[in-house]
Amino acid sequence: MYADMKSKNADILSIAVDLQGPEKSRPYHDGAGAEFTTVVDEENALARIFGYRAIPNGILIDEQGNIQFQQYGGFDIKNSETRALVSAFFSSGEVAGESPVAVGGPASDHFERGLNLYRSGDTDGALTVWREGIALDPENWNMRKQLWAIENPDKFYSGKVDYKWQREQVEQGQ
Amino acid sequence: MVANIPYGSPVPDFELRSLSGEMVKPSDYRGKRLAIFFWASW
Repeated sequence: MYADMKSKNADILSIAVDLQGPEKSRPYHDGAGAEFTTVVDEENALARIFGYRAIPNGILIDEQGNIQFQQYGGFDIKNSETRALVSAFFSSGEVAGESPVAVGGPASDHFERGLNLYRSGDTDGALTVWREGIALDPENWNMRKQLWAIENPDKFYSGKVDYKWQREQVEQGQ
Repeated sequence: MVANIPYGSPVPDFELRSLSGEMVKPSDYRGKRLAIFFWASW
């Protein structure tokens, strides 16, 4: 899947956002036959730094370390257009077309507060705080999906991720 | 509102641990074009 993006003077850094840690992320990295580095953001720290609240995201950075493209939400590397955009940047340094407008959301510390509760063993408390956060910011998919993954591990960690189930949750207003 | 970083500005030099245990930061890739993908198992 990544072979068509390879380039001599370019590289890929993959960031797994999963507060349940590397053991949840590793099977996906290994399954993709990845030849690049994957790091794990267990604290969701980069959401604050980059200002995102949805995943998957992509950022393209030039040789000097400057951001030339960023997309928050919907940057799916399985999509051929996304791969073509990355390949073109790798070979030319140019980004074709307009960069999508970045999306921000209301600032809140619900994700972090819930995370601290979860880490201290108070799973119910964590879920309550995340539900409050989602009520304030319904488009915060990081928070919503992390809550789902903890409440319903069978939908996420037993083989394939059950996206049909996720769509049903949305349709039911969960 | 949470603000995004303006285009053309330097990528923040965060540091995270890789699946193989090393600390990695964007500046390790200086001199190369770099694509950073953010994803989750969920």
